[in-house]
Amino acid sequence: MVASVMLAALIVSAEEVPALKDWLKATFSHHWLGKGALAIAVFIVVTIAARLQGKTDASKLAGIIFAEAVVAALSVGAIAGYFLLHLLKFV
Amino acid sequence: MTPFLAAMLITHVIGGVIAIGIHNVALMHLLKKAPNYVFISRIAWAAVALYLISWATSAYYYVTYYGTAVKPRILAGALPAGHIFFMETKEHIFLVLPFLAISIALCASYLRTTPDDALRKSTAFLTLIALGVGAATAAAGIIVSGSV
Repeated sequence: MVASVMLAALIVSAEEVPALKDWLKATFSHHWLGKGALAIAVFIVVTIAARLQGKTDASKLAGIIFAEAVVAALSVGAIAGYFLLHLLKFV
Repeated sequence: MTPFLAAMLITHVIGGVIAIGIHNVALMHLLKKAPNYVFISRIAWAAVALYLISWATSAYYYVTYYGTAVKPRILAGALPAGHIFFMETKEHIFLVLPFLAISIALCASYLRTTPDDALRKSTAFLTLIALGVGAATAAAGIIVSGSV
C-alpha cells in the first residue's frame, strides 16, 4: 500500500521536477530502475517496521488488504491520469 | 534487435501474460465459499515469480534497447501517443504489479493455515485489481507494439 502511494508520488514528481529525474538517472543509471529499486526498498522497510511494531493484527488483515486494493487502484489511476493530461498537454 | 533482446522481450510478454492468467484462476477460486487455499497459494507464488521474471527481462530490454531504438520511431510515427501515454503509463503501473502479487500470495499462504471469510473476500478484491492492472498493462503493450 505504502509502496503504491510512494510510486505514484515519485513518478509524477519525477516528471514535474527534472532535478529529481536527473538524480534517479545519476544514482540508478535509469529513472525507471531507480523507481523500482526505491519501491522495493520501501516495501521491505515498511514490512519489517510493521512486524517490529506488532502491527500485524490478524483481525485487521482483511481491512488492510481491502485498503491496499483501493489505494493501488487509486495510485494506478493517478499515474494513468497524469500521463493522459501529459498527452493532452495540460501538464 | 539481437536474439538475446528478442528472448528478453518474449520472456517479458509470455511471463506477464501467464501471470495475469494465474491471477484470473486465483480469483475464480477465491470466489468459492470454501476454496482450496493450498492450490491458490501455490499458483499465487508462481505469479509472483513470473511477474519478477517479466519485470527483470523488461527492465533489460527497456533500458538497453527501447529508449534508443523503439521510442524515437514511435514518436516520429503515426501514433506518438503509443509512447507518450501508453508506454509511459504501462512502464509505470507495471512497477506496482509485483507488490500486489506478493500481497496476494502472502494472504493465500496465511489463509492456508487460518481460513477467514473476510480475508478471502479482501484477497479476491485485491486479485481483481491486480488482474485489471495486469490486463491494462498487456493491452497497452499491444498498442505500443502496434505504434512502431
